[in-house]
Amino acid sequence: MAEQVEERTGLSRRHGRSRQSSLAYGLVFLIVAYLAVFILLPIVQQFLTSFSNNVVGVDKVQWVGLRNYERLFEDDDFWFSVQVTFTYMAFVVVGAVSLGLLSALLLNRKFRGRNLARGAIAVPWAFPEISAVLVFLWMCNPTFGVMNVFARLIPGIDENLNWLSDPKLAMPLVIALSIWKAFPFTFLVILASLQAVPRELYEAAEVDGATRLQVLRYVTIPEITPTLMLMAVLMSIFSFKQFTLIWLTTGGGPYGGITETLVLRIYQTAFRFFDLAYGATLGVSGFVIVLGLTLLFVYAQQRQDRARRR
Amino acid sequence: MNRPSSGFLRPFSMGMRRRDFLKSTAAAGLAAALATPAIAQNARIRIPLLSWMWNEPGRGDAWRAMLAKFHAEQSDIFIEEAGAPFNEYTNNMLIQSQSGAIDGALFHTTPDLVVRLLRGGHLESLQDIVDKLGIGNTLSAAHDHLRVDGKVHGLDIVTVKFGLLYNSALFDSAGVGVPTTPEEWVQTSVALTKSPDQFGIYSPHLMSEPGDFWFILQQWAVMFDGKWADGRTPLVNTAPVIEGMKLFKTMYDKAMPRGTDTATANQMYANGRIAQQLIVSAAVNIWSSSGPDIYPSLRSAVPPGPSGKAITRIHPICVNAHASDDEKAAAKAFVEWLYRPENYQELMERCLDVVPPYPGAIRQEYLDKQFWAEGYLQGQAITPLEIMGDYIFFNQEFGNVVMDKFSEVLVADRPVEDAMADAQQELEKASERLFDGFTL
Repeated sequence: MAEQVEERTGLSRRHGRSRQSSLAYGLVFLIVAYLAVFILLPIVQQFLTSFSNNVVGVDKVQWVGLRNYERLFEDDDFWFSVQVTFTYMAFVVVGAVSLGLLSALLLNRKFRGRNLARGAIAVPWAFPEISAVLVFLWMCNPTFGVMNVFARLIPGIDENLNWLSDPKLAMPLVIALSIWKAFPFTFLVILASLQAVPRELYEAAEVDGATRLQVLRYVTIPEITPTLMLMAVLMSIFSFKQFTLIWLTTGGGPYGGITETLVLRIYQTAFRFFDLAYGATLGVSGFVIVLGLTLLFVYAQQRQDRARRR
Repeated sequence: MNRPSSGFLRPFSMGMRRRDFLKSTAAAGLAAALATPAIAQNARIRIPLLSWMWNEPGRGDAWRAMLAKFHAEQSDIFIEEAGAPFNEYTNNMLIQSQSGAIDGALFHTTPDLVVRLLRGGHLESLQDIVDKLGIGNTLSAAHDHLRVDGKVHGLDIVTVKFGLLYNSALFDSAGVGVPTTPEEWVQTSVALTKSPDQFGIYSPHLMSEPGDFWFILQQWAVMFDGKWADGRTPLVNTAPVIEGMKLFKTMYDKAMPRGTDTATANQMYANGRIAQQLIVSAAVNIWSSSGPDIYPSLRSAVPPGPSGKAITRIHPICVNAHASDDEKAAAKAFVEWLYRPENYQELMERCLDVVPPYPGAIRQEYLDKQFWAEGYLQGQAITPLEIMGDYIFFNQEFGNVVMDKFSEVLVADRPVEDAMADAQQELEKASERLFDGFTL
């Protein structure tokens, strides 16, 4: 009887294991199928389109080999947009991470109204991009905008500034808006990271007589470096992909593609000029750039991990 | 566990297992679900009408009223609202067409879109409707480019024509008359400008609004009898185009709220803070509802340039060539109904339109009451095809090159001649690439 029970129990265990593994395979299959259909297939399709002459209205879509890539390498506007993209990225990454770090350091200290300040600082992140841009456009309006009220207080400025139409001001303003929108996210993550730094390290530093600056340099920053690096990569990707803020404020202008990043160029080429093939080629170049950035981050993180283990 | 028997549980207690019951219920549900649309379809065919107009105040309501009338008069065909807002509409339709077929039997089009769809073989001939209604000889010439082998493939549902739409109350209070020459126009606009409270004129000029910017910029050259291209030859550095751009720049410097977006400018116009706009007749419908204070003061004049020409765009309704025979028949039945004089007159009156596709489509008594329409009716019509040549297929890309160079004139004071020479060079360079693989 006992053997029978054991046998039966064993059977049911095997049966249970098999059901569990079927469920696991089923769940994995769903994820793989989702990734294949919605991520991999479009990427493959994009690569294939980049080797064709697929322009909306063309008589016959044909394989054109590397012609689009030849055009890409000879296209001055493409290289300029890459330059604009990296300039924009560099400023947004440095600005958002620095401002996030600074705010997190300040709001990690105890003071009255700290929670309110933390909540207030997170508001720009929660604000919808389109609403933010509309308010920003009103503020920058050369005729009625509030920015000119303040600008006119500066000695030497007698006329209203044409903020977003001025080639010297357009990019800094777009960068400022992007940083304002992005830094609350870096602030929240860095703040969480700061709170995870062990207290003993600070106590030890205090015992050793370290100054505040030394504590920051030798305790805080090394402890939160992985978070800062992660933020740098996330902000790079955020700024690389940024479309709404730039498109709605300057549309890539005021002229000469001064604020036209690669993403805007892809949109213009594919969805305004209907040159799907070249749009796909630009998209592939963007994919390669983002892939490069991500690999760089992985490499840097591995190197840092190895150094820490030593 | 013993449960008390109840009537609801009888199927299980009578020997039918829960699984069987669920199976049979699901099967019955599926059968019912499959059968219901078939029955409904047999009773009434549903035709989606793709349009951007559903999102427009005034015009959307007018179309809804016409559909209600159509549905009240017959019960075989039901026309449904579908589509996207204007800014997304063309992209949406072109991408659908590129992926094989448009998802709708009936759709509205723009002048640029219709030529692409016609070329792609997406449009069904509507000549049978024209013949049946006997309007073949009187159909406006603007339909000519929609003909293939003499058969028309789209019928206009709104013709929009450029004109100078001005606020006569502001003109009267400033003591200025209606301008007829560019010089007078500049003087009038300057006299009407009291920055920042009031501005003489507005025309879109931001690269962040490329659609509006290019749409209206084209008319500035046409006032001087300019053409932007002839066939595959760009003409952006020719004298009439340069004259038009110089006039724009003068107005921009002296009488426009610079850097202002179109939505803000429209609000200012509605509040009587902008005196004039070079704008199409369809806009009046919007002012009638969103600018009730200025609407009674609105008047129009021929765009004040030596040519007296005004770009005139027809927006045809088309039937999808890839729809099923039943859908095509139903869609055509609706278009035929719409094009009957009594229905088309009602549509025009509800939409406040003034340019009919054929003479019987408008009532003279209605037209006489449109106090704002005179200038729109007097302008000499010219179609986008006549001014854009073969570049009509690449209108946005062409426009982008022009706007980009012209923006340097506006914000960096570059001479117009230099900027347009650069634009010409760039367009000539792009021409070979653009027309590669195209047979027009």
